Amino acid sequence: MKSTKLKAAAMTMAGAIVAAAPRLANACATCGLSDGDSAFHAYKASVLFMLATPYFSFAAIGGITYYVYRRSQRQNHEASSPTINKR
Amino acid sequence: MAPSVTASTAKVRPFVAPIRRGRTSDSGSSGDQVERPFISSAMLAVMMIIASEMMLFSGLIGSFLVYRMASAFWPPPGLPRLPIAVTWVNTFILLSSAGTMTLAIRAVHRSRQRLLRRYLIATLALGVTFLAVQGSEWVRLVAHGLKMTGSMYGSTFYLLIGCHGAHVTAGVIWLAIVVWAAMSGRYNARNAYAIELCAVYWYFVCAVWPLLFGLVYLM
Repeated sequence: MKSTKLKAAAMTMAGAIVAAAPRLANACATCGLSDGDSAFHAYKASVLFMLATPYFSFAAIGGITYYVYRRSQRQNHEASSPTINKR
Repeated sequence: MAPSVTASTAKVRPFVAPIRRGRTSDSGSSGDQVERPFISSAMLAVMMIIASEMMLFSGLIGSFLVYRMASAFWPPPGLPRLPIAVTWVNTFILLSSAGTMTLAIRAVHRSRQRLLRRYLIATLALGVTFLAVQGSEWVRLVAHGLKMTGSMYGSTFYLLIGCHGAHVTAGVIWLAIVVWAAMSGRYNARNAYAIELCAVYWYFVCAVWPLLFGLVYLM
């Protein structure tokens, strides 16, 4: 019973803090920056770079897999072709 | 009476298929058709590891970009500049090791043992040289006052370059094991998968470095 009251009080307190200081609750890295702040461009470049990396890694793996597949197909074709053609 | 097992049939391939000889079907020793994928599970695993490593480096580079682009002065006043000329040479050394690794792959595909050993040892030596030069530069930078805990400049530098150095160290250890196995004549054109796996990892380590060099040293 006591712990329930404590939890309720803590949650009320947290809600009051958030309501009193909405800027602190704003989970945005660039919202508090002024116009023309270089950190804004820094965050933008960083986020764009990190967004592009998964696409690049998947493209690289896909490209390598496709290359290996085509090479395997070519080797199979060469192995199954008649000996007279290999001269 | 127990069935006799000959030496050839008792051999067990550690991987599903070597990448170079990967075929969709192949005849086994008993003449039956054995289905094999065109890419080995080990190669897929290495590529997945590399993809996760790329994400790791992406996060580190992302944090570096935030600090680098947000600061007006880089390096901050009072901190030493990074040694660019030596690192250019070191970059050339690391990229050369990728070349010797390619030559080693070609040699093993032609079953030329002496060339294979020579190129693998050259790759290993170049990797060790890269690490040695990096280590000596780090010692000099620490002596000049650039420390990990001193500033964000030092923290990002040591974290990014140190992370790459750790990967090069892992690659060098892997290469040493491959060289040791190559010395005993384990690899040939039909058994080259271990070298190819090591080469893919080494190419990744070499490919990441120019990006880090450009960002950390030149930008």
